[in-house]
Amino acid sequence: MRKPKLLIALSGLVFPGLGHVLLGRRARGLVFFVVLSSLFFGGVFLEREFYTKFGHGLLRSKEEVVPYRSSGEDLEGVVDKTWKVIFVYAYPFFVGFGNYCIGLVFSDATAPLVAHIPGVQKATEIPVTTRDIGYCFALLAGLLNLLVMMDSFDIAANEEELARRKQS
Amino acid sequence: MTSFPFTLACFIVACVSVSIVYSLTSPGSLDKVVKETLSSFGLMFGGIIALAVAIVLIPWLFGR
Repeated sequence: MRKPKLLIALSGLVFPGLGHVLLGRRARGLVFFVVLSSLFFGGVFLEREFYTKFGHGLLRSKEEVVPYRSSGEDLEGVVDKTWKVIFVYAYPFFVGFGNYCIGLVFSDATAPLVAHIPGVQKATEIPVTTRDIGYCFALLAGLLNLLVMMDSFDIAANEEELARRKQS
Repeated sequence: MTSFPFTLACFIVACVSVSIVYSLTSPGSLDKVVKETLSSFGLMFGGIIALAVAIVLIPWLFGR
């Protein structure tokens, strides 16, 4: 039976590597899931303010978030904000909605742990010292998942050819 | 400022992740995956370090 290739490619939007698992390549799918999820959660852990993307978070009050976010907010122009929306807020979605939803809770739960990272002097410095690396990790995980999704589409589209090659 | 070991560790993690995904998505048999992961990691890590060194060295050389 021919598998719906678009559906298989888009299943990566639920969890990374799910497309490969649906195609019967479980080991590969599992490796993709572990690598991309750990990269994404590592990014969320370092970024810390991940939860603010949907307002003021699920578990935190507004007062706790405002102090470090309000400084420098006026300097951001329209271009900066658009760039942020596209590259910082949208790309992590590509790592899978499942992971993204878990990330919301994970970010809040692990926020105090970031203070133990070497180089972080005090709690107020946390967003400055590790945020950029966190952004990079989350973005990288999203972009790599796009690649994984394209790969699963490619495998689904050329399944007959691959089977023929295996036999010969 | 974030410490150097922490930044280096983050850089290595990113390079390892990219090389694993690269080696698994590129067509080829599974037994080549480890070899391909190592070679792509070496190329990426070495390439970026070389580029960083060049970026630091060029202004220093011409600035003298």
